[in-house]
Amino acid sequence: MATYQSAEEFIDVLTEVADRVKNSDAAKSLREAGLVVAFVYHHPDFVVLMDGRSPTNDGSYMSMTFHQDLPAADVSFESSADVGHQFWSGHMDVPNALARGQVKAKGAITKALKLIPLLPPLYDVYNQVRQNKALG
Amino acid sequence: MRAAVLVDANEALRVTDVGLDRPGPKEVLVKMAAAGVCHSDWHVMQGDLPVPLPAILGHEGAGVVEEVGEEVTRVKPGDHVVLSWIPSCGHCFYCLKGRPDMCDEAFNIQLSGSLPGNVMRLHWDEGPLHHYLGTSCFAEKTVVPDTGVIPIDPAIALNKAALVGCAVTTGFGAVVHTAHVAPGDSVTVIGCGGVGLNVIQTARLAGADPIIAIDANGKKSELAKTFGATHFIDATQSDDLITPVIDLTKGIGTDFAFEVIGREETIEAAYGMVRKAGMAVIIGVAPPHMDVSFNAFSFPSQSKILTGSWYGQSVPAVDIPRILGLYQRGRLNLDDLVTQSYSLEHINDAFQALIQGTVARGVIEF
Repeated sequence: MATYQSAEEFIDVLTEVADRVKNSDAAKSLREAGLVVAFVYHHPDFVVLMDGRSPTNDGSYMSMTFHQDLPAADVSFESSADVGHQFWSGHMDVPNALARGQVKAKGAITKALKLIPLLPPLYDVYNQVRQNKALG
Repeated sequence: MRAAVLVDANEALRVTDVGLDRPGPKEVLVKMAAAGVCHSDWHVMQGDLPVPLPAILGHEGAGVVEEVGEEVTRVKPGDHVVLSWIPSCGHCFYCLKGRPDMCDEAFNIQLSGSLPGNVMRLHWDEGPLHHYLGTSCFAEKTVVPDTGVIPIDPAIALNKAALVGCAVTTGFGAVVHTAHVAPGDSVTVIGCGGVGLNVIQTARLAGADPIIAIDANGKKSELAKTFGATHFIDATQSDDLITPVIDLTKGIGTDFAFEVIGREETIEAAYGMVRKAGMAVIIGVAPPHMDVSFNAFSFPSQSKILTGSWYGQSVPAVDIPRILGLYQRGRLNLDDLVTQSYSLEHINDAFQALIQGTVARGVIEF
């Protein structure tokens, strides 16, 4: 069975994750790199935009927005939403997933891959949020 | 005689009276006993596989030789035969290299909708009537090249033998000739139709373990396990087919993946789920305009083998009797493949059952 039954369910989790990590080291690195990263998900279909380039209202390092259409981004990672869940929960070997075709990447991949070592705290937050929502 | 004619793509088959000439030199007239209903015929009906139309479809059949033309020495009237849709010429580059599955002349027959030498033995009141794959066995009788008939033991039921004309040989050969599966190898099969089930049972015969079957129809689970699958993944439960296969193969990936559908996403998944230096075998026939994409870095860095298998890379005159021998000795299961029989008049019902996935293989019996 699919991990998320609707885009709204997944977005609800990611919105809370974004709020908790917007001042994290990972977000700071995203800001320093001036990167906009898009995650394009299918089934359910939606796009996550992590923006470390545009100014934020509250002075945090990044914002996260959700669009049905792909906005301009420096790098995009396209996958099924199930594979997206694996990524956020820390159960994905990104280079292997790229090689297997589970994730298709476009754009400034090298810059984005540099952020991977900073991600584990985000995985913890994601798993915690899912637990709080009785999803995991 | 009665035959099922496809007049144009996206139409039902029209069961009607057609004419059939007597066999010419190196040709054989076969009275059909049974013909399997295959997805390839359906692809033609949908316009996904372009062949000259109108035509009499059907490429998986068995029957009894009724008449032979001049210069025919390999069969005689009364012989029981299975039809082969690759009537290889024996003298082109590929035949001489030992790859009759790639025979140029057989390929030309497939494209031209005729018999060798651009000969047409079929006709009807509405103009030209094409042959299909040199077999055209959705008809009470057919004329085929003598290289397209394989004599078999008359003790074998022809409705079982018919399936060896395509589904069984294609699945068997993909495992034995293309992949060379060895005992203990892990095998994953995407698509549990007539061909997929034969990949599964041949993998079992070869000693593969585990054998992971994947299908979008959860009802195929039991059937797949009857033929030897050790695990079943219901493809409707997630878009991600790769992760469950990785999980079932100790995080490594499967040694062999066989794609038996011909869809972009399943071909890409087959490649993705194979372990490093493993092999993905594409058997499913995709529409000629379809493209797939793969991670380019993975070609050198993971050194997987991505290949196709056409008619199981078989030599029909050798493999068809060999497969039937395995059936007679109880090593291959053909009995459970035929789950429904139809008369020619109900052939469109057989195709509906095929696309609804309610049968392993439907067979037209004459």
